[in-house]
Amino acid sequence: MKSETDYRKLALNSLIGGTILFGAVIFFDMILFSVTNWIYMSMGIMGLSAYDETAIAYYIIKLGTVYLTSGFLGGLYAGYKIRERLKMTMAFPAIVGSLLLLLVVVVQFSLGYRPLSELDFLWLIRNIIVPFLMSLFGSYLGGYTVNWEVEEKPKEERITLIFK
Amino acid sequence: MISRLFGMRLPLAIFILTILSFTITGTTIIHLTLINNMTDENWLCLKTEFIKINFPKTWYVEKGSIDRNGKIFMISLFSEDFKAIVHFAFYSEMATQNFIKSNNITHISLIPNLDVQEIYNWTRSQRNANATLHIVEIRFDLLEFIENWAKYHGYEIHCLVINIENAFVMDNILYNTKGLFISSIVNQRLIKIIFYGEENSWNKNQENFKKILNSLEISMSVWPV
Repeated sequence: MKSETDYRKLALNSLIGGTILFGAVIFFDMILFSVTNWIYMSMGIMGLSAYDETAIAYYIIKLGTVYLTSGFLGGLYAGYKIRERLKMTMAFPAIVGSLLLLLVVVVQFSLGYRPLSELDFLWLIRNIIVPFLMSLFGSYLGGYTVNWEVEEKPKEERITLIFK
Repeated sequence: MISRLFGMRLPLAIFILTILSFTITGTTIIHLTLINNMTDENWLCLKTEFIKINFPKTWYVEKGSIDRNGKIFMISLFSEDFKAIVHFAFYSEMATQNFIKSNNITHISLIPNLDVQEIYNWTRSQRNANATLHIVEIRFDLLEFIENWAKYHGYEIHCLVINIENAFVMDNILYNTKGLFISSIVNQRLIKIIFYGEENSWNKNQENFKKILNSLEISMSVWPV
């Protein structure tokens, strides 16, 4: 009976952690896009949009600031709620969040917002696999941050000697 | 085992360091790209597999290619205010033949008319149904510049200047647009150059357009067949 409750708790918190990750990806993605555009415009370097190197640089920044951070937030929640078997459980928020993101991509392709011609192996690595791995890494870091055992320093004791 | 780094829990410190390293790497690449491609203080140089072009660094650029019945490579340069555009389309030999065949073009001089009609129809259907098209005479200095440019490169060009009255409405104000349409066939490959935009922005960006066009270099040997 207890294990059933545990599984339900695990499933529920993984789902919430995954949803946090999914929402955070969308939110941070918008923020990063707006901030980058604002920086380009205010510095008068919109022309950089022409270069492939800039797109690669943007992708690298996005991996760190969007996927890793979102995974971290999802992991932080799940780690705080679950607290057990972290090695296994911290993968779930990343899996759930990435599945939700994959669902959005599938809908975009099926509705024709993205051309099917851009779908190839390299695209899958860049847009699905690497972001998933970053979210997974973030999720573990988040989960372990909450549950990290820190050796607390012993409190300093003040001894006053009174000589008479 | 280390339990803290910089006074933080180890996973948190790794998280912050990873974000910082990714951001610094990305920013460095952007900075190096900017430095390596600047031609002067305000202009950038874009080199692709077969063209080289300079443009103002404040302009937004989009480039891409379509590979359907022949390859078409396109670059669109949007002015700082996003109200004027310089568009280049480079057709491969096969794409040129297909374009001519599918549009029943009997002479190259008809290509600018076709583009004008396309833009005018789009303006009427998407922007303002009451828009009026005028074919206007090309200004002498602009004509002289284009002719000199074509003569220098040995291109036979056909161009058309238009004015669309009441082309679009923004904040309850009607705006006119202006456009210059150039087409040329070089070694059986079509080049289209379109300079189009809101009238004031178009006039203001004429010098930029001339500078962009002057900087254009095409390597015929690597232009796709």
